[in-house]
Amino acid sequence: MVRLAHLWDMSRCVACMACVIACNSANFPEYMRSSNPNPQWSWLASNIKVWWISVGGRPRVLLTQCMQCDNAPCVKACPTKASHYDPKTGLVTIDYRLCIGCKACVVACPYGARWMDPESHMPNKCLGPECSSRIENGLKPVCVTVCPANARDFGDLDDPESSISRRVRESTTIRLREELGTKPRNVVVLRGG
Amino acid sequence: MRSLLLVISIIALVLGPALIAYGYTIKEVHAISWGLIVVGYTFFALVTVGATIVNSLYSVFGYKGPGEVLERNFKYGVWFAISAIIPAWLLILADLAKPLEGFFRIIVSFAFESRIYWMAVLYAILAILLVVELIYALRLGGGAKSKLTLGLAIAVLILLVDVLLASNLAQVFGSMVAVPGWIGIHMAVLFLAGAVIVGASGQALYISLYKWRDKSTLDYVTQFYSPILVLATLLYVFLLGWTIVTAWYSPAWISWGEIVRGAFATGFWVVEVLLGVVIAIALAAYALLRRNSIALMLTSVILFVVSLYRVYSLIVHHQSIALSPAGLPMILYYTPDAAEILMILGGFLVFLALLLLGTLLLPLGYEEKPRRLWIFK
Amino acid sequence: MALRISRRDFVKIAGTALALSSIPVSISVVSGFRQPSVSRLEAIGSQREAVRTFCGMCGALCGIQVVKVDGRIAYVEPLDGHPQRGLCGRSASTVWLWDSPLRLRKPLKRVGERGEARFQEVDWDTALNEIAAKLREVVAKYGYKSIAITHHDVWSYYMPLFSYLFGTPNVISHVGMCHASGTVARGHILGAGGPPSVDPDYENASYILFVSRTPGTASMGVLNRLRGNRKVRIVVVDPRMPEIGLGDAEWIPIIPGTDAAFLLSLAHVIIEERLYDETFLKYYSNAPFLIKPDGKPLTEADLVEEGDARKYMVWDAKTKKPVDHKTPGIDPDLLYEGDVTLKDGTVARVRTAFQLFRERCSKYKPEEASRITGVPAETIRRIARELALYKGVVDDTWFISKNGNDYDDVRAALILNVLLGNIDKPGGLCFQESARFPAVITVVTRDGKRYARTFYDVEMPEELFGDVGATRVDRTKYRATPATFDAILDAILTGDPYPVKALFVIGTTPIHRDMDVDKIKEALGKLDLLVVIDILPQDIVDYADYVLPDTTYLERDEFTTVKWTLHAAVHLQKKITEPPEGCDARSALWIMFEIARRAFPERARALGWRDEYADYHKFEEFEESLSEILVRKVADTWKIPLETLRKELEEKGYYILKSKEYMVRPYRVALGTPSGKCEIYSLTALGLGLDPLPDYRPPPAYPLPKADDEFYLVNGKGPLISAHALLMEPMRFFKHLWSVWMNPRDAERLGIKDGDIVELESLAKPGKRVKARVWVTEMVREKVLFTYSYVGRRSKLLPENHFARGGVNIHELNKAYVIPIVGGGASNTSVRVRRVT
Ligand code: SF4
Ligand code: SF4
Ligand code: SF4
Repeated sequence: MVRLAHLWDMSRCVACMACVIACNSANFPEYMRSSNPNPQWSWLASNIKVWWISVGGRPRVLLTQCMQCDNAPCVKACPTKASHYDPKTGLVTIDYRLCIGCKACVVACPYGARWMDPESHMPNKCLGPECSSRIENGLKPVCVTVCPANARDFGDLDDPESSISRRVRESTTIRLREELGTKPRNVVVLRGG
Repeated sequence: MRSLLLVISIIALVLGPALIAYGYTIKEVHAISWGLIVVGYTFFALVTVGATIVNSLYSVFGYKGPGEVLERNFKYGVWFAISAIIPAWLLILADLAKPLEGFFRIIVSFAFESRIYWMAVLYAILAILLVVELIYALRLGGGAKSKLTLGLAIAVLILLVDVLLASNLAQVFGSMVAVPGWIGIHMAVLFLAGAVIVGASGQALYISLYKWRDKSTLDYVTQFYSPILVLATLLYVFLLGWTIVTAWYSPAWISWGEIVRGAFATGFWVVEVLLGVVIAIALAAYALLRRNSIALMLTSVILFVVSLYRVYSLIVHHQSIALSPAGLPMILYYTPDAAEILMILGGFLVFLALLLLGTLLLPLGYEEKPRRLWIFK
Repeated sequence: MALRISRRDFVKIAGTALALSSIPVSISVVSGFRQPSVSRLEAIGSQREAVRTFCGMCGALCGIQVVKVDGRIAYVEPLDGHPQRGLCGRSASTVWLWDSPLRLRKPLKRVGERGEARFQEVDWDTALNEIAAKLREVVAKYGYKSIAITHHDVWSYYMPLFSYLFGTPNVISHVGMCHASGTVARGHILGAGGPPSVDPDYENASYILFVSRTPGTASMGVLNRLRGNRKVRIVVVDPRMPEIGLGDAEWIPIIPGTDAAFLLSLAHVIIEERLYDETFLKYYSNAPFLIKPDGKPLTEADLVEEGDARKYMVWDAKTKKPVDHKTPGIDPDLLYEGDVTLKDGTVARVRTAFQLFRERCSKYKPEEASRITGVPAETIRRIARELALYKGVVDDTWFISKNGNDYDDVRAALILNVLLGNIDKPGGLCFQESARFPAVITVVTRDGKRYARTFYDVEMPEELFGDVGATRVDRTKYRATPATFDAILDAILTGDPYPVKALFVIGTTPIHRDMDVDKIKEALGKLDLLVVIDILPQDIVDYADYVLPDTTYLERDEFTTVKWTLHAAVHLQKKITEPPEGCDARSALWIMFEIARRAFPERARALGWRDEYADYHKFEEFEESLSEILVRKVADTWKIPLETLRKELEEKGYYILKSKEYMVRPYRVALGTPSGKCEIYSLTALGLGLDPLPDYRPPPAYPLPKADDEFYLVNGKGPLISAHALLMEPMRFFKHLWSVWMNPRDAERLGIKDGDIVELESLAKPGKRVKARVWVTEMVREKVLFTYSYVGRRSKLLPENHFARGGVNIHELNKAYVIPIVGGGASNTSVRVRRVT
């Protein structure tokens, strides 16, 4: 099986926001100039959120996006099967033809990874349209390629040869809020290898 | 007078949906996803469920009530339940991005794992049952009840569907791991107990109002509904207490704690406890002991409003405090916007208009029978 | 395809049919809202084209590729393989720059008072003619040298050309407010120049100590190289945590303005624990030089008649006598202290430079340094030992014009590398390979006559030089300075050393760059002519007589060196797009030539400008040909077949001319210092009348905060910070940019909560107050407030509630202080804090 996932390395990220901004311009070009592009998050129209946190008095930054849960509450909550696992990539994907905008998935996501589109009133999440199209064409998502700090990766966790699998092997990693049973695929690296 | 009321209610019936439709076109995205519209929808759904449960005392269990008040007003009760479910549906559809295809999309998806999928299924069944029951009750006349007949079957089914519906609706929230304050079975029991409170108080008010010149009926209404309200409220308090005590030991405390002694505490203690429990029980007891129908009506009004607040608190307050992906509490600020308030007003207009129209046009009285077009007076 | 119906249409349908029911009428036709997500899917991704170029959002010029999706500039990616691989949040914002609603679109002429920002749109001819006329007037009265040009990184390559075009020496960059002290120190100690002339070898370093620098935020290429290094340990010393501290770097919060004490204390530990590289010090530094009691080095001229004053003497431990340091086979004594007999028979007590330095450092024993810097003595010892153990490198700093004592910080930092002997070695502090890139202008002498010769082989004879040869205003005041714009302000205000009456501001914003906004404004008011050439309304625009819209880097060709790499490399920028509809922007090169053509036609002509270039298309051909010529010259210089270079540039966007060769300087090639070696005891400084050794002096630029509510206010850069990038829409959402940072313990003490508004009153300029929002964060040291550079905008051309008005422009609260001789300014200051909401 293919289990595509993102990796984000906390020990390398310098909060340059290139990924946050690039996600916006690549995936949501029509909201670039909007005065309130993402009211749900009071944020730009980007699928990446930034959390300024403090770990034992030490400031850190945490960047999150859809965790690509293997046991995704959003998929379970969806009454129309619009949110589903893409059979080819294993990614949690929204079929907007089926989506009716009930917001159950937005409420259901424990990572706050979805945001309602202020125009269409449909949910947005990672991957956005351009990134989906990129991976179909064998490219990595935009946030991964733009990162100057090599803090990101994307690839198949089930392929031991993939760069993401290698990085997982070589680093100290966690998955966020695993206690919820969501089986998030995305990897957070605490100490890089 | 009658035609004036008719005109008013027809206007309200057009205006209500228009408000909802207009609100739909201007609604905005908020920090939390399910806001006032969902609150309104849930509220009306609970009104229907509660009213149905009260009705079933007669229709299923054969209890006619003091002075046969339940039997004599059974059709009013049925209509009351129907009147509430319509605005509920309008509101929830208007909360979607695609109201017109929403129901259909859900039904054909067979997304069995989704609570909302089952909501749609239950509503579909309920809609059919309610129509059948209405026609059956209206055409049969009298108390609309003959033992071991179709009537009982329908009543049993409706009760079943309604209880399932309320529990399932509760679990739409209660199964969201993302909202610690929701997760668990307490949502279902709270919803059911809450439904009885709001259904009973609504019905009591409705019947008292249109029978307000009939002293003996008022008396019986007071005798019947006061203890229901007291008991249901006591049950609610008991369940809520357990919920809060349990929450103390779980992540749910991040929102329950905020409700009990944090940002939302004033509302909780003043509205939910003082008004909704202490004053409501005292008034209801007074009404019962003194056969004071005014006191009952007052209790009903209070509980009706308090119930709306309770639903708001259950849905909105718990959503407003979530755990971030880092596992730290965060606050999401929400205040309803104009669109949402308009839509809720629209919902109430539809509700009241339907009640009024039914009272005016349908043979809801004990002895009345339809004369025109199968069901009309 | 589903018919898309707008929300308004839906009202109509719903209104007439009251169709709000669950009955699924015509599902595919009526669906309340438009579905951009679906249509986006169809629209995006059909045609993806990547154009290789280099980024122009800040001065670093990282390698990037601009990705066009269906012809739309959609996003920017780093250019793989590029020696300075991008990118950062600034670069990612490029997409917003091109048709930014703020963009200057037409030439503007001032109609109100200076500062009122009341303008009238004029056509190019009017603007240029009027500027030229004014310029001639000014020159007639005050001479060519009364014209000044100030700039930042953009267009800096062409600045010497502008200087000759206008006949003025006064082309004065931003450097005084950036890396002046570092550049001077680099020259004094290593004989090097501006920031990238020496730089840590990020790829191979095993340990890097950054002092007062936000590593990898000016040039993401640096960060990229650093992050490609898997073994490096990074330590940052700064009053506020640079962004890299969020990751795995160790952050040492230090009291502002005390870096020199910290660094000298490290040196103290390294010396006393004998952790230094003795061989390196003996043979490649002037540590063993014998210094006379008067501070001057002992030279051959001191010892023998006719002796060479540039032969510096060391004590040879083998022969036990003073010998020229270059004598082969000697063993210079590092610790010598004794008497030598001079040629006049007197006896002088000499000591080695090393001894003097050692003595200097001993003032800063860890306990003492800890008292000054607020860094625990144990940490100081540990860092010193780690530096030696890992063969670490101390970064040579970048934006350092902060506290008025910064020159010593950089000297101490550089000397630490010398102590560790980690110069020009893999993982050390290395010299950049020169690209031997042609200068825009060189002065050649033929038949006793001088000519200014451009790289495109046009010559201007010396009679047209105007005042080019005159002493630059800033150099009259600060002898060693690379550039000090503050001196221009003084000249405007006082006419000393001579009046400056016309100012061109090109792609820079003095109001957010130079100290003391009040002083700047006063000076601007006294000018006869102020022309601003920019892309966006920086605050300075409000004061301009003429505002001329420049092109963005997406709209022009450029060929230049790769800055932030140790290799010698070049890269090519190709015009990617025209300016957007309705934007009549012109390249600053065209603008300056066209002004000169109208004001001083003989100069413009002599420098190769033809009348036909007035036509912008003709100019663009000329501009392209300039890149062509440069490519050809580089190919010639490096003996690369022109076609190979062209093809590589075309395909890859960059070309590495020479990979970094280690162990060259000072080992095989002498440094540019008087001794040709690393000078821990700077002879140049000595010659300038400066202390030849670094020392710690408390910051002279502002009163030190004392009372409970008094704070240092410090500033810095970050990966989102550039004057232009900060005006891009996405920046609105990053609250850390638009707030002053305060430590939680200070906040608690003063009863201030995150998001509160405070008033800052300058201690340097009492009465001067500014309001700001507070961001409570552990990322800043106690007793220190931090603000980014270039925030706190005031331009009236920005919308009333524009987010860029947030934050504090530190220059509103500081007072001008310039380090004597060196010419570096000081941007930090101190304030009193009061909560207002
Ligand atoms: S993968 Fe694409 S859509 Fe997802 S966060 Fe990254 S840039 Fe955004
Ligand atoms: S992170 Fe949220 S949106 Fe993503 S798969 Fe998990 S539940 Fe769904
Ligand atoms: S691009 Fe990389 S370094 Fe920059 S914020 Fe994103 S993950 Fe961090």
